Amino acid sequence: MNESPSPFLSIVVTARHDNYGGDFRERIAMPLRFNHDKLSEAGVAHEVVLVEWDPVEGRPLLCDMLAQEMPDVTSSVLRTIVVASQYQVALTQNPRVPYLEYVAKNVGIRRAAAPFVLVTNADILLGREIVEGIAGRRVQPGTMYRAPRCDIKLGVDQIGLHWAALEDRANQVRQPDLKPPLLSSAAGDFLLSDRDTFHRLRGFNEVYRAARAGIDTNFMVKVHGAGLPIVEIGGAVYHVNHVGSLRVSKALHRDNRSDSPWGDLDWRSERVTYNNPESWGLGAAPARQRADGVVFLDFDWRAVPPLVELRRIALPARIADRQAV
Amino acid sequence: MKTAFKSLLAAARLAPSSQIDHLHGDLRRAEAKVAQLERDLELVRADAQSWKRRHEDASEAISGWKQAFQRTQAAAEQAQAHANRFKSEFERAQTELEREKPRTEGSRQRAETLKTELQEMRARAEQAQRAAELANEQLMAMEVKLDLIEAAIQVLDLRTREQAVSSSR
Repeated sequence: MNESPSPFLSIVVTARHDNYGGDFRERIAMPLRFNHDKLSEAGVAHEVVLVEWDPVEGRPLLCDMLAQEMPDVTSSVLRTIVVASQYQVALTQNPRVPYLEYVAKNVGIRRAAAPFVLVTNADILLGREIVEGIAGRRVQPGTMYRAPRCDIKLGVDQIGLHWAALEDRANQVRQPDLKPPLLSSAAGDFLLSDRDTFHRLRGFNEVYRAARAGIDTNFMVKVHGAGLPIVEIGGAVYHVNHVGSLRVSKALHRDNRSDSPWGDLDWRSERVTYNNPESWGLGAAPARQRADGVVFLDFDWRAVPPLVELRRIALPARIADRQAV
Repeated sequence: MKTAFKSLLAAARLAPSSQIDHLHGDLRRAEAKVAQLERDLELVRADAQSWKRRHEDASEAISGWKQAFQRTQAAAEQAQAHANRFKSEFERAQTELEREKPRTEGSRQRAETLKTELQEMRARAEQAQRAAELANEQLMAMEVKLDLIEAAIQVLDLRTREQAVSSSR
């Protein structure tokens, strides 16, 4: 990554190059370019922390493909962390869940450099008001910011997609309302707070790894129980619907909700919380850096938390007697 | 001479002119006085009429007042009768109250007891609800923990089987 001013914002995204939801390279490249352009135009110094989880053997790394495709973006803002495949196998509690997305996100959060961290998904486009809010420094430490996700209709032409088209309700298939107190709908698509707050919370739940669905909601339970204000930042993010997304595919698992690729869709994510170990986000994983700056987290059993640690599952603090973290 | 003339006139039953003039004057004055008296009489009559009317008015008013007084008196008597009735009722009620007092006191004490019991029951119900909520929360946590144990057993089972298969090859 070439050097630009120290970033104000780290954007953490994760990816697994298995063409989840179609051609993943295409789905990640357009939003990466879009968000980078919009933030740069607004004068927001930023970095994108891409966590490449469980790289598929025999396939080129996504970061290498992106570097070829958009060297201007990757050289200026992209920081890639490639996590050895063995971690997926060693960490899994449910072989039907092939992608421990939130552990991958924790890897990125832990290593984010900027004072503010936005945890999102690689195919999310930032809305106009959000970019303006960040550029105007209208974000406070110790607060968790949320934004609703508008789904853009499946198959929309993404070439030259711009804010006016995204904001046009004719192109949207879903405009959700975030319900207090958790504002948890599609939380994994937009969570913005200061780096210290993410570190104090120790990221997403790494104790319960049997599901991928609901981990973001479970994080909001932790945030709420910790007494942190959860606030809508104003404006929406946009997601272009694709085959295989949880929302689109949910109906496929209507009769088999405990056995989906996202794990048990009905696990009690709103009723429990967790205490991650100090080494959350594969903090103890040995790292090596390639000449171009790409970091590889090599496998080491010592970096893998126990398969089960029941004492780390806790009850959320009641609101009446909640305490600050 | 003068006296002789007068005597002559008197013998002829005539009066001297001066006397006649004098009498004329007296007559005019008497007539004027009569006229004045007639006017005065008219005035007195009018005044008497006026007084008569006033008297009649006053009599009417007195009669009205009398009637009003009688009505008022009747009302007062009625009110007095009411008051007497109320008084007797009040006295009866007071007597009854005095008689009921011990029973009321008993009821009041029972109400107090019931109130205290109700408060205790409410506190117990709230406590039970809290306990139920807590138990429910613990149950949820247990469910998640059991899920984890089951998941771990499945993973370990899978790993063991894979290892067993690969070592048997």
